[in-house]
Amino acid sequence: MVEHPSAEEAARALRDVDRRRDQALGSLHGAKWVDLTFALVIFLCLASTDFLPSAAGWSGLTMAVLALGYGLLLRTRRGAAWLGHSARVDRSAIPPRFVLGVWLVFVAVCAAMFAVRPLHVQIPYGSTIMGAVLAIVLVVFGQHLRRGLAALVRRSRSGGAADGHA
Amino acid sequence: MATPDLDPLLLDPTRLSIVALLASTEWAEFRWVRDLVGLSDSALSKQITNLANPGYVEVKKGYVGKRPRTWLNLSDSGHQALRAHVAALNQIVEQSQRAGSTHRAEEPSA
Repeated sequence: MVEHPSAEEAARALRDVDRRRDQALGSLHGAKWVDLTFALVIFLCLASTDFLPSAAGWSGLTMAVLALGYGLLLRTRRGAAWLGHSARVDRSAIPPRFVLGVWLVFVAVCAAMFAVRPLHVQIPYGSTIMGAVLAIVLVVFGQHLRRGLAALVRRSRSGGAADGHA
Repeated sequence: MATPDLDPLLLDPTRLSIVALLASTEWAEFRWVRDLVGLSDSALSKQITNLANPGYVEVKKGYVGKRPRTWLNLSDSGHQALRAHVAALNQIVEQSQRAGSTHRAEEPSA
């Protein structure tokens, strides 16, 4: 670009800045083996409540420790690289309304689970079935779900800040 | 027409792309940036040196297992430079749009 860009060149540069930011958000993914490990652990933990009811306590603890360890590893460069992440998204790049939306969905799911609990619906091997479904969803659709989330972030970002505004 | 404060370093489209990519991340691996920008190792290394000299990009090297890795991150001054540059580019576009609408308003109707 020349020292004094024309309006067309400036507009092109702004579009490129937006495109690169979207590209960065859309190119963040982890290793497949991490999805497989999480899927296996989720299945084993949920299946254990059907087959080993006494193990319900430690299976929940295992899940919590694994999730915490994953979160902590992602915060460090070496840990994230080990988990197959080549970059860490900047929190400021995620629009607050997207974060609010994710929290609302999370609260709604928790509320729905608590609402269903008193009904005492007994499905034979319900936890095992739930574990298998969650594990399959994670393995088969894990990458698609992440791409979908990235697309949602991009959409909510472009709605709030157009033309390269930071 | 006033000339906005454009950053001469960011007038280069490749450098602007690298900075824009890094602006959405806390840090990124060298090869991730290389693949997305579509440069060779040496070409990206040269651009990173240009951006690291004024302190826009910080470079950290390390190992994961036995493999060497290089991580890049946009410094606060880099973020600031990008914001100022984008604001200047916006100003150019807006000035052009204003000039265009004034020109159309001054044209005698047929």
